Amino acid sequence: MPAPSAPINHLDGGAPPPGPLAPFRRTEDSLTLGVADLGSITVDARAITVRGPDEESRGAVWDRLGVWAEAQWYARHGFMVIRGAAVAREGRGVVLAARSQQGASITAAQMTDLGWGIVSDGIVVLGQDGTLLSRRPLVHLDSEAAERLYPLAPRVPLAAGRPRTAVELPSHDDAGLADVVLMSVDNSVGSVVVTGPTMVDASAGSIPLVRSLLTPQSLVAPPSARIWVVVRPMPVDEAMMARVRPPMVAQHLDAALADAAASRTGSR
Amino acid sequence: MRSSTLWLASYPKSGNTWVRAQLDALVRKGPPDFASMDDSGEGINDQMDPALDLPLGGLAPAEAVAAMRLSWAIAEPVSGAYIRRKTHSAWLADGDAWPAPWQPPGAKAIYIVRDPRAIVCSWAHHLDISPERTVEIMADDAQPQRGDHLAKGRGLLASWSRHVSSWVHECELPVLVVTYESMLADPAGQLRRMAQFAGIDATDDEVGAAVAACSFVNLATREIFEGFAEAPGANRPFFRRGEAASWRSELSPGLAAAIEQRHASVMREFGYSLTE
Repeated sequence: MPAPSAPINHLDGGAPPPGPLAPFRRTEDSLTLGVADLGSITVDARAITVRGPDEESRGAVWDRLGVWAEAQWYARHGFMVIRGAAVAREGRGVVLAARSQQGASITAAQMTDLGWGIVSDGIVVLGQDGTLLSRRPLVHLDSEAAERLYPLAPRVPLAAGRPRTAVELPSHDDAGLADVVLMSVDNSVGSVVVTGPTMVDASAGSIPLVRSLLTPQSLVAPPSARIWVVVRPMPVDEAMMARVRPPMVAQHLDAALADAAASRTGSR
Repeated sequence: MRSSTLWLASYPKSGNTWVRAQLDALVRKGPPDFASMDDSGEGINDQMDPALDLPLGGLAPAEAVAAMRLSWAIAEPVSGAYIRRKTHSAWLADGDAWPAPWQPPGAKAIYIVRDPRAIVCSWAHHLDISPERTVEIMADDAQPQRGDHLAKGRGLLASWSRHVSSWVHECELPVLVVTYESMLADPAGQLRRMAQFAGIDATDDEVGAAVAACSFVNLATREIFEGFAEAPGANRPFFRRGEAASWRSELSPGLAAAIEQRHASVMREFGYSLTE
């Protein structure tokens, strides 16, 4: 069952004035977050409401805050929501858990070139039984990266605050959670200083870095799940990553995940 | 809205990590936890607090920094009265009309000052650049922080003098100023001051234990065995010398004079004697 879609309303409304803090209001029932000079978005249990003085402003608010708003809506409806992306192959899903600009989206996109399908991007929604629920297979990338990597894929420029594009990529339906990849920016893994993307199999034990990388929600992975940590020394520049061929992180993950799957089935 | 942020603010290589380690050790009543020395759990840099967890990729830099400030302001401390956050941003507007670390009432700051001549030696090693280039960076009033600074919530760095003056004289928050040299001379006394300012109750024994756990030797030894996320690179440790006057043997007289000429006013304000 794909993740349900939140009802979205678009209403005329004023644009918040500039201030030192992003416009914000929290009540017992709702959250409202705004973008100065554009509009605001309110989330409650019923719906997501986008307000702005005109359609263009409301579109700009949605393209900036829509993912966040959907995450809030899903959380209010009892779903577990994780920041990052999810891909799957033959029913086996992998969560790429990551905060902003840590490479989850572009890695997920590059994995579709290796036979994986997009379950979701921006947020990962899990059903109560731990199933990764599929959402629209749109991956948000920096426009330069999208143009370079997927010139022929259906693409929609976003009205965001930076050049961003939504790219439609091969999709996958709901999937069982098989493995977890934690993606982070950090300088070191234990006593090793990281100078480039580094992948560490963290399944064997709880290393301090794993503890510090866990997303706010506790992710209960199945006992057979492997946990990898992909660490980079600095935030991801998607345009630069798009120029790296072949895509090393995606390839290494693909190989490691295939190995894990084979181990579980006893074929290795 | 009232903020619970306690900024641990400084120009780079001024003792910020040492202060964070000591406060962490005091709160934990044991050795500092390198993996999560800041209450925000975000590690080494100004980053969005999980309280908001807003994807930043689609925001313009000024929008991103406004969102960062909001995330810091709405976060509630898990333990204690404040959430400790590190920043190297100057208290100067850049990109929008407010300093990047701006917070509503309730927030505070501990600002750490260090002799700029010592900073040059330490920072040149950290960045793996020449001391001459480091002096140039430290003299630039328009110096940004490295990387996509505003979009990451990092404000202007500015020159050393401008950075110090902005926090000491222009910051609207209550600020406790501590010098690196006073911490070397009287670590327990200075930690006691900081603890009181930060609302951390601690006995004299607990202060002494935190000071001991965060001695330079202990921190440097732990870095060798555990690694340290802020280390600049392989074979270049973060905890280098930890001394006050080592610059006298590391800097050429000409370079020391250049630093003093550029920063004399602020140096005198903090009692740093100038060479003849």
